[in-house]
Amino acid sequence: MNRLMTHEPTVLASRACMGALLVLSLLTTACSNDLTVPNFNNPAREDLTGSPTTQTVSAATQGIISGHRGLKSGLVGRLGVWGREYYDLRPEEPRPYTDALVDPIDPVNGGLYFSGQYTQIAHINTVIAAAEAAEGLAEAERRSIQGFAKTFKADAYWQLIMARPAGVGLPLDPNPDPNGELTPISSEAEVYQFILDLYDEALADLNAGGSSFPFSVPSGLSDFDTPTSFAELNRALKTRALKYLSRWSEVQATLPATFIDAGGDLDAGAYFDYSTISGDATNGLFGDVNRYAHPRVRGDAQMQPGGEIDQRALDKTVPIQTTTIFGITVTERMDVYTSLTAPLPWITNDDLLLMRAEARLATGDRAGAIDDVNAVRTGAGGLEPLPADFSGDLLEEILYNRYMSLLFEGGFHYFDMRQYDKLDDLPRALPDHKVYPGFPYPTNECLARSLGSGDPACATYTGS
Amino acid sequence: MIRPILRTIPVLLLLAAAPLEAQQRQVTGRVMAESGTVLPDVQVQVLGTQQGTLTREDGAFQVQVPQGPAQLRFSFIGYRTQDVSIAADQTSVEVVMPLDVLDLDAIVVTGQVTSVARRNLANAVGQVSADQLNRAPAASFEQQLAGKIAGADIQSNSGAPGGGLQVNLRGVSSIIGNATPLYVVDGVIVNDDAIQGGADVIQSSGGGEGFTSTQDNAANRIADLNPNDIASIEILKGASAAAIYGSKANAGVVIITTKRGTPGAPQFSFTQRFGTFDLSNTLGLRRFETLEEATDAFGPRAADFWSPGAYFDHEEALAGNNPLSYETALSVSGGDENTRYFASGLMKEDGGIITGTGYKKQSLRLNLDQTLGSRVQLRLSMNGVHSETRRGFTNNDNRSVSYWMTLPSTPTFVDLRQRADGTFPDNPFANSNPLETAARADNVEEVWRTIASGDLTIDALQTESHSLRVLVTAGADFYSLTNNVFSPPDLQFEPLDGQAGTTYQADATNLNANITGSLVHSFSPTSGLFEATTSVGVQFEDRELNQIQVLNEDLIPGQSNIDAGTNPGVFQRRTRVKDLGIFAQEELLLLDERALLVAGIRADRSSNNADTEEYFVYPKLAASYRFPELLPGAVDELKLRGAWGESGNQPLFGQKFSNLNSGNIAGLQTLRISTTTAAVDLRPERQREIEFGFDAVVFDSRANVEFTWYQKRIEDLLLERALPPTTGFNDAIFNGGVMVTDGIEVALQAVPIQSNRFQWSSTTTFSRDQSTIEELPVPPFRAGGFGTALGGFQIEEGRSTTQIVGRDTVAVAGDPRCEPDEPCQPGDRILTTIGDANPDFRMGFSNEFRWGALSLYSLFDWQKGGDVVNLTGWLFDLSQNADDYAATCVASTCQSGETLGEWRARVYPSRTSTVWTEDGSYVKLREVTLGIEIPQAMVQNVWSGARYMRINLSGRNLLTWTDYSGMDPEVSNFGAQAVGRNIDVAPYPPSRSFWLSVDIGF
Repeated sequence: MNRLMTHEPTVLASRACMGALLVLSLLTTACSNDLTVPNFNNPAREDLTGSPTTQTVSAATQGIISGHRGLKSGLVGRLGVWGREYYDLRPEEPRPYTDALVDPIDPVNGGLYFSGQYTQIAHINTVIAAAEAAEGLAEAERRSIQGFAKTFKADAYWQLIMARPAGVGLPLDPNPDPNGELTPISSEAEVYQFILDLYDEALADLNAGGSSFPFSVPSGLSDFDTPTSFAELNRALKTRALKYLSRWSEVQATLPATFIDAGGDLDAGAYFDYSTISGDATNGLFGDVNRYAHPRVRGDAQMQPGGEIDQRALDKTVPIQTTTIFGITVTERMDVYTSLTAPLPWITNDDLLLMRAEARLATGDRAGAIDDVNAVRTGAGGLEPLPADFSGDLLEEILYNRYMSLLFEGGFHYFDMRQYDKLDDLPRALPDHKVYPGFPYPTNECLARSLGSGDPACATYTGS
Repeated sequence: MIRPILRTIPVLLLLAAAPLEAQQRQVTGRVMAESGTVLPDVQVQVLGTQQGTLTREDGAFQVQVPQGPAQLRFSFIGYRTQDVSIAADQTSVEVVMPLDVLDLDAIVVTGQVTSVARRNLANAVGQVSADQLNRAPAASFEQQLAGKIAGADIQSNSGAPGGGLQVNLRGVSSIIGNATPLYVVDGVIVNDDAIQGGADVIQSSGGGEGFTSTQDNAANRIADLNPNDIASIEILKGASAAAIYGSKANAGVVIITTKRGTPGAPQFSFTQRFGTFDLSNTLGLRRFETLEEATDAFGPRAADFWSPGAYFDHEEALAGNNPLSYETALSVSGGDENTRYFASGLMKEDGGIITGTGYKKQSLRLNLDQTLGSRVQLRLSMNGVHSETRRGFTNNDNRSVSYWMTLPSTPTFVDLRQRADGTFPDNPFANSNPLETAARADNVEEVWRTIASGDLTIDALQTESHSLRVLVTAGADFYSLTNNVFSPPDLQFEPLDGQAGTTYQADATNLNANITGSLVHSFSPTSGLFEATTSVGVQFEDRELNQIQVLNEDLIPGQSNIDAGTNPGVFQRRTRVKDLGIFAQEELLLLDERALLVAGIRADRSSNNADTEEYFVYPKLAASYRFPELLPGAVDELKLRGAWGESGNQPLFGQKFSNLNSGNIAGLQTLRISTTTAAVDLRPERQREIEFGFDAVVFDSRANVEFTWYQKRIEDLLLERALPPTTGFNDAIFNGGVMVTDGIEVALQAVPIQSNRFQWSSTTTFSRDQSTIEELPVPPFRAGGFGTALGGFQIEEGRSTTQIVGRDTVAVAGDPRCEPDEPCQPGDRILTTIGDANPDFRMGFSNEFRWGALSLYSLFDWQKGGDVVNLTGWLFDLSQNADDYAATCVASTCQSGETLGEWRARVYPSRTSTVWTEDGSYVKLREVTLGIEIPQAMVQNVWSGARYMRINLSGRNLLTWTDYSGMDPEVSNFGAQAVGRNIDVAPYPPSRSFWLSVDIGF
């Protein structure tokens, strides 16, 4: 309540002035206040795109490896179900089952194996540019980083194009400005050529890369921790790309430069590591109780001399209590990755041997093919070697061994069957099960490029 | 009359007896209520001057009045203001004040530091007083607001104890920006964040670690307040009212004022309540009558467990507790002319219907008003709260741990109950036994919180026509919140990830501090022609949140410390925001207090904007005109009002940064470009609101009708645009697009029957709103939900903001819902709008009957429309475990011998969402109270010191009428979401509560 004042006007005025001064001073301190707040939780992108330090570039290069690990792990996912290697059955979440085997796939539910790979490619491009821009790196070190990075980039493109249906192409080299024009789509043939050329470009960089990398690699890549040894990995990945193009003479020409070794450890090769260190990932394929072995792993396994089934089938699956989920009865669970830190294979010796077998078979060297198959059959499967005059379906035998040896490693069986036009031979356990020709682009890409369901890149595939 | 004061309760300065001047005379008198009781603290003003006083404890007063005839105005909260004429020779007067049943004379906040009488108010401001609020006890005062204010949509996210609600004022105000209102308590801006709980570490709904989950069923922090402390709540619903709060006000502002002391001897109020909670709805679980049914659904293994008649109701076993709950509250208020205090304490425990859940709260408050010298007033408010909440394991999960995520795949013929030796059987059909999880795993959140504020009012200048005050308000809201989750290694599901046992501790410390300095000048010339109030001020706010999480797995048996495992994970996230605002407002009351004009402006800077130096300006204009005595007897008063204002919504901390993500691979440091990129000019959203309405007092002040129409146009929406993946980025945050929300609010307050013995007062509210995306510069994108296969939210130009999009089957060729390039034959499936989460309208019906000492009060809340995506029901169906799965199919497309569940599975393939997007209309009986006021004579016979005693029987959420087949149509798996509510995934079931309360005053 206000009341009548009996004080002198000057005192009133001075009080008024004091009050006004108080608020004015608040105002002025306010206006000059600095409201900058740093980004506490992450480093800034400018650290890499501006003028990066060598340590930033090294960390970003090591980041290429961790990114690729995620992509490779993803290849085991849907593609493994497509290849009838395993089932993903979760009573509370049917989508991994229905999306993989029953329902039509379209850009909304089936645009897989796309955005992760392009994110990796964009990251790799940034690292390549950062290696160029960083001060404190010797020229050989720059080239070694770029050769390393380009190898991963080529493999990322390979994953992209393999996941697409035949005839569908891809855009190459994203525009670094996310608001800029989208790069146009290149044809399937152009993409494959780009991949093969990129492997070669990487090799040239590695050859000029000196004797060591300016960054470290985890132990899964310890056989390839110098530019010279990493070149063997580069050649191995190129061989894989050539094999799926059925370019057999080039496969045979490239193989000697890889780490292929018929007498050596079948499991030698390149792996992605996991660890339980805080901030790192563990192998999510370990202990995933929802991934049940397809019955054909044990059911179609050949017999060892001692009466047991193929050792690989025994090692890679473990019996469980019979369960029926969504009408599918399963008796084993996948057990390929046996701990949280079990490494994920990228490409291994047995894969190379079986690719050489395919190439030899296709170019008429049946005896050589049988030798390579036997190296894997006996070493990994504990099976009897094939006789030198084996007259049966050698391709079937090679595909069987690729199925068993590369089980749960990345959907290779699906790729193999598609390469040889054998998708109809894949078993359909229930009448509504399907096999699909590939994955469309994801919906955001289709919308951005205004591609409707009439375009094969964005169509709905009902499978067969 | 405009009172240049801070809060709704007038600041009181008593007049010391001043020597008689030649021009003045003294008038004495007494003020009483209609019932005959005397009224202390009534404000007595001499109209046309700045003089006045307060009545004393016996209702008496004396005041200096100029010579000649004069007018005295008597006002007091809850009573009708009386203007009494005093003749030139009159020196005493007796005044009787009738109750203000319709709250017509309440004072309402209009700016940061100013307020206006309700009769002149130019905006539709929602107001709730203490006794309207506290009808039935609740954990959070938000529950007590539901259904009481037109335009305020208050919904629970689940039935879990301890709060967790969303307050939506006037529909949707943002899409990815902040969607919860600003809360101001006694001048302090307080924190209302919902800090993620810890259940995600064992449920893995969001990834299992880090700050990724919004599906932890977190409770928002405003639940910490003690509802008994609240004196009044004002709700500024849109930009036209809230513009003066600038870039924090898009979703509205809720202004809470706590009780303050009244002069006199200490007066105590004691309340003791006892009550219980009761499960109010279950889903129902399928009974398997034959072995064949059991093995069809659960495979050959079912034969090992099924036996004829075996039926265990897991829902009842899980949520069937009726825990004894209590609330004890004591407050004391008193003081003298210079010092007034209000102190209160609360101890409350709400049991949970699920074992291992519950809510405890203790609160202490001290509010002090101290007069320092003759012109300085200091008000302090201090509140300390401690709460402990256990909300169990519910909502979405990917590990089959959450209770109602496990039940779909668990048949009723399996006995999961605790055995005689204390152990629990494993669940043979799913990864966990929910009864064991509830009993043995722990999920607790403990909060220690202090909210302290002080304001200093200095009367710098006071003359007959001028007054100038300086006000400084400062406050801090600090809390320390700890989440602990412990899941022992021998629980069934724990060993499955190879690391048996999980322990988790997260500490969040938060500080919201703000200071406001303002000048208020009030001028009313002696002619009484008008009254002008000018206010200018500066406000600075600094808020900081630091969250640290430690997770460890593979535990030593029996140990729960975070270092008792082999796989520690450490995570931290910090946010800090600094805001600066300058505001000014002019209020003009003209034409014999019939017209009010308000003009205001606020300029804001914030550290969340890309340019922290730039000021964003938010103006406002409002006007109202009263027609008093328009049609005497019919329309006693009609007020027309209109308002326009702009407010903003800041980007959230971090949205403006483009990051590198750091991590490691086997210990080697990694950096990767983040897949989210931000616009370089990221700025606040802007809302422009216009509002028109009228208020009419009719039928001899027996009823009050309010009508408001509003339209909000929100531009520069913060949007997350999905970038085409070939750019290498997945999304970009930017400003763009236009959203328009409009609606109407109607409220009718009436006292249809008012006699000596019997009174019936009634309030009915009606509101509807709709929100449309008018412009969207990007292709439609998904916002909320699990993707369109299961019914998700999609932001699309020309459509409702809250539309639910999913798949449906084309019924006829040429179905208008088909897109031009889509196949459109009968039987084809198309992606189309299948529902809308926004209701058609909401109505509230509250009625109170008083008959002598008895009173009966009820509040019904009706929501019509508003679709809910019932994923829980879908999961039960997929496992053939829905309770009606085996029922006879009755649809026209049934095949012979087909059951209802089989029909659903055949006709609606699992990817068609329409069958599980259901109408969520409901009518709820939210509050019922039956009360008896023990006659004062009887009370004082027993105890002479007592002033009153009341006994109440109340209930909350007693009945729900709805066609929704899930547990509760009021549900949100993702918590408070602007777009993305109404998704039902295994929530904590709803419960009703019954309470017996005794209130004693002494």
